Amino acid sequence: MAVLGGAYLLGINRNLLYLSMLLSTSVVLSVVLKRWWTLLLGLGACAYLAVAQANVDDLGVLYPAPRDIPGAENMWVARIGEGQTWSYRFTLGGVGTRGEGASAEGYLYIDGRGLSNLVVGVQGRTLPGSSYCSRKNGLDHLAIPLGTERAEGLVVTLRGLPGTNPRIFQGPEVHGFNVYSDAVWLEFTGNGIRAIYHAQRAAASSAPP
Amino acid sequence: MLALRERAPAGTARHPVQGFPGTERLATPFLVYALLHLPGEAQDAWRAFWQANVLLWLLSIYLAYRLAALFFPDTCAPLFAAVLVALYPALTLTFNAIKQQTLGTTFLLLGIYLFEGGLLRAGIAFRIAALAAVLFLGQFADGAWVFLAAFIFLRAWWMPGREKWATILCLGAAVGLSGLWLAWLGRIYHLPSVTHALRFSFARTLEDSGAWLASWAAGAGSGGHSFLNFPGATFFSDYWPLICKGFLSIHTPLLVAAVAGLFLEPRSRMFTFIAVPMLFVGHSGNIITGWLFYYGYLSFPAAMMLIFAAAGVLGNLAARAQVLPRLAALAVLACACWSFTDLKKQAGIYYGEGPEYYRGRVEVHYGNEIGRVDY
Repeated sequence: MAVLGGAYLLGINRNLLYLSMLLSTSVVLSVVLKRWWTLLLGLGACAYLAVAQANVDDLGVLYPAPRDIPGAENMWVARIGEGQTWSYRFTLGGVGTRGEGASAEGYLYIDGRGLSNLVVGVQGRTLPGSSYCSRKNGLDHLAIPLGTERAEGLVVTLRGLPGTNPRIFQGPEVHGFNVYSDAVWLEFTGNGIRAIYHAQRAAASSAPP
Repeated sequence: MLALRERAPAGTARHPVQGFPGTERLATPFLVYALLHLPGEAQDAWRAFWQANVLLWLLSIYLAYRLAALFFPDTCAPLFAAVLVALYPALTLTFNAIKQQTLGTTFLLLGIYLFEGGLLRAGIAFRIAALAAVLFLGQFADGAWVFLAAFIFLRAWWMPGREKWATILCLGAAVGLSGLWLAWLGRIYHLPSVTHALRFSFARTLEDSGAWLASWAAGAGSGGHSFLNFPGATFFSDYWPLICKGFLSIHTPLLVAAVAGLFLEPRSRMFTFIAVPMLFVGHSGNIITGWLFYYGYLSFPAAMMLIFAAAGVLGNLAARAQVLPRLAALAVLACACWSFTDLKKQAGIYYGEGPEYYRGRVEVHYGNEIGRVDY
């Protein structure tokens, strides 16, 4: 305690938060360590930690998940611009015929914000996001049933209602050198298998007039 | 870590404590920063995380051994406790973790060891001061201070009258002092807190829960109120059944051994009885967030109680002269440990939802790429 107090008074370390944690650690050690030499070693280590500074590398941006930050409305999301249409081409490759028994039931999932204003196209069908929108861990979550889809490929398009800018959550899946950045994915569940399909976003294009 | 590395006083510090929750997990960067003082470690912070996790695992095993030795007289119970904690996936699964959710459980074991091994017989003033320091540090260790305070409070009811009230008094004073200590630091450092970020109010929650109870007692249903931050009756219909189901599906062998201990080993009873409220306390963080999810790691404090109860009864059996009880003890230990080896069950223990959620085969397909990833 004297060393910690001395470090503070002499201006070597005036970080009261850190010194408080070290003081608390010293008390714990003084109760745990019974032999004089172990106690001396433990308290000496605390004193050293109070006066010596270690190098701390920049570990990069380690933000917690967006759902953990209330109010972070514009973080980790990509905005679908006015008049833009984003498209994704999923390669399914016989999803409905895998395994035995009942066919796999599929869903299209989208995470983001403001998804009630999203217009989703699935194989040419136009679906309003507001009909499928729910909340999941602070984000908007769309779960659109696909039934027992048996096509080899499935095209999904996303655009916003006029005057709105829905945002898609950036939850990158990385495979090799390819990044699948948007939280737009398919899941087929059946026969004890859960098959997840990712696709890259095609270049945003202007919406037809 | 940068906030801890600062040397300037609070007003001129350049790096604030950040993140959500920031303060409640500050013990992790504190531990890693301490390890970075070791020679040769300055260049690799990631390795320091791994080292910290391995150290926490070893410390937990040691503490389990010592704690069981304090409560059970036979020589086998500490070994059983050490084996169960060593193989319990809480810590082994997360050697590469940077979140260190299990830090709270390790700190709980440390706190119990401090209390039982030294503070219980110390003078009142020293007991309060030391306990306040321990609880203060526990406020940065993933809810450890709540786990420890709950354990000591519940443990006190197994003490003789005067000692019981002295312990509760000391605990109350220590909780108050450590809370004031953190509040002072929180004010000058503007430390972020979960309750503040989520705009959670204990008073408002208790008031709403009281209104819920009054409405329910009057036969008017929930009356639009929430009970412990869960709307309507979902605390009873959804939340608590989910927690119990998740816990029971994973800890059954330990629970069976602990229940057998109610009849075979009187000294294990306290741990078995305490396990239930510790399960509630462990998951009480969900009450603040209002999230309906079984976070497996929040069950670890209750699981530790079951591990001690099971170790006590297994040690009792193993110490007997007859062969049959010894074989039974080893069989139960093997059964419990076998249940820890299933990797998908481990995922269920740690991440929640229960093991069944992870048992199915998962295929991930990437665009037009050939091949897929299986889990």
